[in-house]
Amino acid sequence: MDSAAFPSADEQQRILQEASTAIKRNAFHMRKAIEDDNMRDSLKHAAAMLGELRTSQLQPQKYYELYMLAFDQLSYLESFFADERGKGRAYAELYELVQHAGNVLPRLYLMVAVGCLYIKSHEASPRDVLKDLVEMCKGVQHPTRGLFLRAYLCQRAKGLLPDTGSEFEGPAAGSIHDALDFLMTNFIEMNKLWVRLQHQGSARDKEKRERERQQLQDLVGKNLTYLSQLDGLSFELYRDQVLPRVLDQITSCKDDLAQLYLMQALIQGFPDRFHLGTLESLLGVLPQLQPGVKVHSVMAALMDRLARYASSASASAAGGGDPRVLEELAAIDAFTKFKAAIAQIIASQPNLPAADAVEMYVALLSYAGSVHPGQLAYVDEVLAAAHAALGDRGPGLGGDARAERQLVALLGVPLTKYGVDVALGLKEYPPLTRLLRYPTHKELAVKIVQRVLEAPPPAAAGAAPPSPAGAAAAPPVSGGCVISDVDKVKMLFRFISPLVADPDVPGEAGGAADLDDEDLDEEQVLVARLLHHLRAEDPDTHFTILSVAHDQLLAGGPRRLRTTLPSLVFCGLALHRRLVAARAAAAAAAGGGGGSAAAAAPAAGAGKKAESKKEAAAAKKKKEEEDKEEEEAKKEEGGEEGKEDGKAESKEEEKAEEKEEVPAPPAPKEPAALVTPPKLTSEQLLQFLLAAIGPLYGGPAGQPVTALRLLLAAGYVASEEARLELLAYTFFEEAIALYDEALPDQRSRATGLFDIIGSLQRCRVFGPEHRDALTSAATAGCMRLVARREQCRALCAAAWLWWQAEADKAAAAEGAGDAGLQPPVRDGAKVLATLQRAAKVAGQGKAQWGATGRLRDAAYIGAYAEVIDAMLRMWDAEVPGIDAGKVQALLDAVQADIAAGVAPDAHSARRWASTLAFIASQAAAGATPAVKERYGKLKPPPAPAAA
Amino acid sequence: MVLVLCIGDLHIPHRAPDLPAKFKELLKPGKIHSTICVGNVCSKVFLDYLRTISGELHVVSGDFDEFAAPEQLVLDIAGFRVGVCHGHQIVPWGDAEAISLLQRQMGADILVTGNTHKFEARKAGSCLALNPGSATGAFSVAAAGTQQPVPTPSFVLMDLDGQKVTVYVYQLVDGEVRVEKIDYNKAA
Amino acid sequence: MKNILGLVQGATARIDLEFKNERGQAYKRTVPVKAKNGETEELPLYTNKDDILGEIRVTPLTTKKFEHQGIRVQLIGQIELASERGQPHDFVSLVRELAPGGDLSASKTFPFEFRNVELQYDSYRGQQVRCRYLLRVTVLGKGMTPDSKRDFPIWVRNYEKLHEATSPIKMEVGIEDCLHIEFEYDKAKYHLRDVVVGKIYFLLVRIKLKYMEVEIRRKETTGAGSAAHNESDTIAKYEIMDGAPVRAESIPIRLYLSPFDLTPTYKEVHNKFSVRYFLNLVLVDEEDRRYFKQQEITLYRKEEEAGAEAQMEGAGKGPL
Repeated sequence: MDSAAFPSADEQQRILQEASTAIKRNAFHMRKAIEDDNMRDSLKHAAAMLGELRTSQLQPQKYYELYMLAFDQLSYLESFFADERGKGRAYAELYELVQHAGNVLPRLYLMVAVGCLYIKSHEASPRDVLKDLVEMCKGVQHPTRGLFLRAYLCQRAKGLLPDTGSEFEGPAAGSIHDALDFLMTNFIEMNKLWVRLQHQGSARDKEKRERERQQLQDLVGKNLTYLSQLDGLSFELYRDQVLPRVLDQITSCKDDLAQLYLMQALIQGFPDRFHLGTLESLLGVLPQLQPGVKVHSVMAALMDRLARYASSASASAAGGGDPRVLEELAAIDAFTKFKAAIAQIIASQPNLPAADAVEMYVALLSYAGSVHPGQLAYVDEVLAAAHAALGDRGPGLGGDARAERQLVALLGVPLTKYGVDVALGLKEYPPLTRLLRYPTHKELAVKIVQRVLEAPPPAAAGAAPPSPAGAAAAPPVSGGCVISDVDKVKMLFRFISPLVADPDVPGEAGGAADLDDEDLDEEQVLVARLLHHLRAEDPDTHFTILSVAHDQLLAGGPRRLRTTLPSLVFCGLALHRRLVAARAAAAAAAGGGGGSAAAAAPAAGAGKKAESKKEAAAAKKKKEEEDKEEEEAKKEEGGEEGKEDGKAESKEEEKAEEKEEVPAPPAPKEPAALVTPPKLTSEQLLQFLLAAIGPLYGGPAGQPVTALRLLLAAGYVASEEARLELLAYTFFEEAIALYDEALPDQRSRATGLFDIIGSLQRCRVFGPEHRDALTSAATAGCMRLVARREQCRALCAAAWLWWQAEADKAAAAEGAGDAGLQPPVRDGAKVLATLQRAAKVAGQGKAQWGATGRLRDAAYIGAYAEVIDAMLRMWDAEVPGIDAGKVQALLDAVQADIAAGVAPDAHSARRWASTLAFIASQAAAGATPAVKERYGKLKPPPAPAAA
Repeated sequence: MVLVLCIGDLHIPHRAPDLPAKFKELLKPGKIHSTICVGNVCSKVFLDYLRTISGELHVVSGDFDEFAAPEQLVLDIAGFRVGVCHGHQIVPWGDAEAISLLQRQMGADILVTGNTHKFEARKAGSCLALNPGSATGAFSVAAAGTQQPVPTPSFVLMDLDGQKVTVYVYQLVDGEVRVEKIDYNKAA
Repeated sequence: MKNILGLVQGATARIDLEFKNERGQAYKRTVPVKAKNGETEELPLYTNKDDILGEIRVTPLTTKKFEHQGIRVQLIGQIELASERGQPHDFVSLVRELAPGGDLSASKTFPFEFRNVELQYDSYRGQQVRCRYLLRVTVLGKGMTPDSKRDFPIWVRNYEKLHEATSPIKMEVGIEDCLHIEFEYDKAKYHLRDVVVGKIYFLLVRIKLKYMEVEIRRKETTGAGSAAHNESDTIAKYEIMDGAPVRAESIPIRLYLSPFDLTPTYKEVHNKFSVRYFLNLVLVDEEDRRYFKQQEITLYRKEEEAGAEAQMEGAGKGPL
């Protein structure tokens, strides 16, 4: 019967029903006999009731229901026994009496019931009774029945063990050793039964049976739980008595399920410090386990357990916890032991899935993180070990997707635990990433980038910025961390290589060629955003970083450059702005200690600004800072020498911080550090940018519209900040050439032209020659627009090219004065000429209307209005040569046409109406009398009723 | 009462990596009725992000935008005619007169422009000219040689209520969000 | 009932017998004995060399003058085989004359005594043989008056003094390549309230066992040589193992003998019969095949038991 599979579920339910009924019936008779004080019948019915537990037809879960039913009823019998004793019947007698039962299973249940009362009454020695019970239970060899019987034994005996300090301890009663023996023996017997369960039935149902066995595992584990709860269980007892026997049982049972469960039960069940002292034994047993056992999960559980122990111990150390734990762990060099054990497991199990191997390293890594926080060497060791273990499994770990996921998890640990900036110090990281397939590595790379972008800013976490450079140099950053070390930047590009370059294994999927433009762009936007996080306060270092980044981006091929180059260029432009400030500060300082107040001002201003930030960030340090400031002020007065010292000092501090790998509070800002001029020159930087923009002109990376804007921005910076005429000219020249040759459509040409005019309008570096070349190119561009109205608008804008704003006096006072710049161009004649040219274009529009008669060509009215508006503004700006007469002439011309019946389109009509309304309002209620008077001179036609 | 977010010149990824986290916290979906973006978002991801903030997004194109959007928009919101234009087309850049000319031409009660990366709210007669500044504090070309080389991240929330506009300016100064309030009455 | 029977037999006097102790009080030592019909009767219990004392009362059943030729009491020990029904073999026969012939007008009491009698064999009621003792009172009739006769059974138990220790029974048995076990009973000789303690050690198990039990078997042998006749009887079945053990398991045995209706082992009782006991270890496999090994044990009645009648004597030998 045992070797057959269990009956169907329905059939089992029926059997369970019947057995339950029988139990209830017998229980009824039993209780009746108890009422009648009939011992003989009570026992007879109790035995009959327990006899129902002899069934072999129920699977464990159903059997459990039956067991519980009988279990509940046994309590009646137990209290009856207790009553009988009160009447003078000795438990010894009862203990024999119940043994007369003919069937072994009911007999043993009854023996356990009486035996436990026997102990409780102190009539018998707990040691003897327990020994007898645990031995006699061997009579039940059927796995399920035996397990439940012994579970009953264990459950009943739990509170009756001669544990140290318990009432059942004594010279005759027994000691902790007997308590241990009892639980150990019961555990071993139960485990044997449990293991044997797998041999029941046919091989066909093996899986189902394993599931059923799993349902029973806690019955076995209870023994270990109770063991761990013994007060008398000292570490020595555990080490010498318990552990060796449990481990022996684990290895000798040669059963996958049992080994896994018991190892876990052992690890979870006993106190951490026990494991600490027996680590070697625990680890030593792992390679002896069955090949099918998930050793890695045991290993991982153990490491997790100790890691948690360590972190809780160190966390509570402040609150009176045990600070020795970390020392202990370090003293036994648990890390090395774990590492060696992992290596041994991997070596001894050639079929171990790579994923499982990696899982162990993940656990080891988090262990290292908890026990040796901040010590990167350990992390590198783990990564190296993982690489050594997995390296020969080939790229992508031989296509093992699960292993790859695990490896990604492993690689994720240092990022979350230490942050990207610190993780970049891991030399073993990139080699390990090479084991991932390209697309997987790319996913990881995306995560890394996102962490850089989104990691909470250190300031928000209450800590100081990662480097003194970060905060001061940064534009206000959204969050995330700043990578300011050149080597780390290089490392970062290795970390995220799939985002910046195609696979280097030919034929591997996932490169740029496999993505459409949109997807590639989405991916590269991340890289582009990342670039803003790579920067250093020191312009020279920052420039090196940008060069490194540039080289990396170039290697990624043109399609990636489309998205990433503009960001690089703007990083460069932002750097340039700081470079100028740094140079100005240096120049001002070099200009002489107490000398020109005006020259010193910007440096002092910049310094103040930075300092105020610092103060906000580290209010605590305020006092210290003030002290230092005083010192620094002295240094500044002391001149060059003092400043050199300051620089050296700050460099040293930076180095020290790198060594420690821990973000230290920033050194108080040293204005003196900025004094030595950077080696980097504007020329170098702008040349770099010029080259960087190049690929965007056309070809596969072509982004002519963007390139045009970048050139204009760089040109403007070259003019207004660098004040390098030739370079500025080059940028504009390139921009105009690009405008002429590469812009794809009318619309982008129109807007591009406005951008050229807008930028050029404010540039003051150009001498007349260059300026003429550029402005005439721009005006020529206006005429090349197709729509007359567009031409008109562009010309009106271009008129401003000859009317620049007066020099900004405030800016001059700040030191960004006019040195190297030309005086503002204010040439009324050129303005007027350009506006007249615009009016002429409008006139050509009228002629065109005359030829076609089409309504849409009547839009020339709008063009006129455009010119009038522009002229009014010039008039307001008091440009010489613009007067009421010239405005009036245009007004009259339009008015005449409208009177002659030209009906402009709605847009033009509105435009015209708004111009008239403006003139009227200015004449009526101008802001100043002068305005009122000026506009009063005009005789505008009445506003059209239709408007 | 209609809450309208005015935001622009994000320049992500060209000039900034992300929106300030504190702004993101404020701009939770569901609070704001509609969003006006003055352009230069620069990446599709963040355009999509803006779409999540409110029910409707009105966007014009800036000089660095690659997506298709109009150069100008005139909207009717809660009784106001709101004009939107990025403003790089305005010569000279940021010129007040030029802006009011544009406003006149559009017939807008409120004109929202960007480009300068500097918050501004200016009343001119019955008109209000608004510049929400750069939400990321992005590098500004035009700021070269000016007093404020590093723009302050900012955006604007308009509360339109029939005749009245309340403008809330959100600025990120030294890592903290500062809010200022400006009242503007149409009738005045 | 007996009176009625007596009448049918034509008894004319009623005979009663009362066992007494030395002090003339009623004899208290009795034992319940199960009869064949299932009823239990209380019989006076004696041991070899005991004195059997008592009084016999004879009451005439007739109003007429009752004459007899003498009154006597016999102590008879006899073995009766089922195969020789009706021809019991007396191995003891002692007579005490209570009264010479004469007449009896009324009920009269006659004391009697058998001192230091040889009650060598235990009383025994088996399947095919019984050994019994009885007091037979006979009133010899005279003339037309038939004899009046009545039997009074007594029960005899003999006790052994301290028994010499015996070595345990230990044995390895098996079926080649199928089942090898080693079993052990702690002794070869047990008293009737003893506990059999032992264990079964499985050296090799290649069959799926279902359960294992110990049987107590009794074998009566009558006759001798080729005429010997055996009758076996299973007195008890006691399950000691449930389920299938594996190699190296050892299963404990603890079997209390007290609940079972056992007698001591009797060997060659008066050359007529023997009663022997066996422990039979039975292993049953899943196909209900039985594997067994029978081992004789000697049972005896232990001396101390006589006085105390202690039910719990076995407990002393128990585990505790």
